[in-house]
Amino acid sequence: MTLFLLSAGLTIIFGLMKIVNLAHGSLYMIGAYIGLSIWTISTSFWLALILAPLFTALIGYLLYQVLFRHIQIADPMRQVLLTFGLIYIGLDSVRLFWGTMSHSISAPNILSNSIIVLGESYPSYRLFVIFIGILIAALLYIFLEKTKIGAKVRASVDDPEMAKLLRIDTDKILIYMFALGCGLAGLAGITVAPILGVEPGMDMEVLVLTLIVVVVGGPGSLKGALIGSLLIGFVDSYGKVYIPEIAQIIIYAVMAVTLLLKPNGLYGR
Amino acid sequence: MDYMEDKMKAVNYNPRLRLHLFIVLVVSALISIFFGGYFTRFFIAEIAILSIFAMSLDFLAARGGLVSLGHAMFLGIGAYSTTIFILNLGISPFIATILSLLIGCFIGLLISYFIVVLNGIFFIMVTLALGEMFHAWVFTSELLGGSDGISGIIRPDISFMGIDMNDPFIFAIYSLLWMSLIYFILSRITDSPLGRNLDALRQNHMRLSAIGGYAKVYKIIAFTISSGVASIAGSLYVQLNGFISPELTHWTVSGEGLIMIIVGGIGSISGAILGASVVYILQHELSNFISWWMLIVGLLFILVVLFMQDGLWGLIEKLRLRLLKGKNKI
Repeated sequence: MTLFLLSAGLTIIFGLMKIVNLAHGSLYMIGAYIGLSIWTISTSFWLALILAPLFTALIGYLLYQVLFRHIQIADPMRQVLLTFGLIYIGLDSVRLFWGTMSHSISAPNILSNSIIVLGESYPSYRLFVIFIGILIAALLYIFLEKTKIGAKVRASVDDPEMAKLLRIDTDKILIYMFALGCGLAGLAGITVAPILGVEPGMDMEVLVLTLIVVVVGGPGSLKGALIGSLLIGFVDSYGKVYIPEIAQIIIYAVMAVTLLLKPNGLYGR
Repeated sequence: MDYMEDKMKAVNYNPRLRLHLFIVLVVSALISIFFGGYFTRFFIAEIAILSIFAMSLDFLAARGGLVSLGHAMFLGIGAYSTTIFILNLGISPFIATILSLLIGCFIGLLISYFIVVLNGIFFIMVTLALGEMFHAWVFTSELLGGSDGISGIIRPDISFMGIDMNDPFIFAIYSLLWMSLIYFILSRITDSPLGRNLDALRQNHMRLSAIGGYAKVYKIIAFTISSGVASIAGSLYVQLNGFISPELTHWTVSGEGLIMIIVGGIGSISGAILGASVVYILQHELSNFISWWMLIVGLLFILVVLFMQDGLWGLIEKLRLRLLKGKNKI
């Protein structure tokens, strides 16, 4: 489900700006670290859960204002390399501020035991993560499909020029959606922190997986991100259990097959 | 999508400046080889090899209009096939390099047949994924040493000529020779009708198709040549270090290669060599002084991408123009 939060953010940004943000993993890591700091100071996981995504969104907002707004017309290579530079900066600033040690956040007491689901005992925090994923998916769906702002966003994705003619402020929409996408990465970071811990290098682990999900699902499609993350997540986990030697390769094989059959991804436009 | 959006920009076509810059670079490399110590010679050899890699990316980006974030895969193919040829099959290192070039070309041909139809950001993502797939494979493969890598790779033995390849001085010269050879081959191709067609393809592939060029075939040719060149770089790299680790195939290696060609100026071949040298020296010098050198390098990357359209090549071209103008006035 974290995969979904990450790829939803990335796919939103891609859909609007046609930019692949390689620094998305860095934002995920920074979200986790900010959550860690808030958790250490206030000892409240819930506060961290709410504030970390907000701060990450703020960072995204600043990044957009300073950098991304200037490279919208550049060729894809420059856009990608700019975000590549951001990875370096993200990794080193995390090392500077928080050190190279790996940390862990413990889940709040209510969620630290296991519940019995369908006869199997299951850690309740993981259920909570799944719940958050579904909640965000539902909220995003309602926001994008049922509200007026959502309609404007979709209009800006489909045809930015026409949207501008209809006096939709596409720039403003871009800024806020970019921040939203970054915030989702931060949310993913903090929700996953109690399970996987917080350490430098966690950005690289998820980045490629997220990119694959976005490519498989169809860039710019939220539904694609959901289905794609479920597909890749299951293939990855089952692969690791049953055929560990080639588990890693299977994910890429899934992607290759998808691209050969449907070059625009499962739900590509 | 509109083809205009995917258009790659390359520097002005200027073979004379390209040759001059190349001569300056090679001469300064030779000077540092002659007067430098053990480590300088090792560094020069490494820079020469990285330059070969950068040139392969440069050729692909400028001539094919394709940006690959998975090119480290070919570095890895060259490196691993050389390793297997030398250690498991007992083939001499020089022939192993040639064979790995052929393997790289063949795999490049195979892959490009499927992926050159994609453009822009999709091509970047697919090459990234392919490269990571290869990385994941070598990382877990027992045969290829897994995450530990393989060591004990030897260099070509030419002791019958009275030369010892294990001397860093000799190997630096050997690497420079390869670099120069590849520089001249790529320059030849760029200046040939094929190269002109490739440039036309990058600038406007629809128009090229309209006047009877086979866009897809040209792209495949560019990708194949480029992957072969990258394989040579990989093959030399393992001979230099004597060991191989899967880190060589990580996608960030390709990313750094692309930064090198942006620093040097895309499409200028010798600019790629300059860019590789600058980026490599910068990384090494900074990491000696400051522990957070990556932060600075990242910032510099961003500044270069934002503000230096034609990289250092552009600067040199401007300076040269100004100098020539000054001469004419007198």
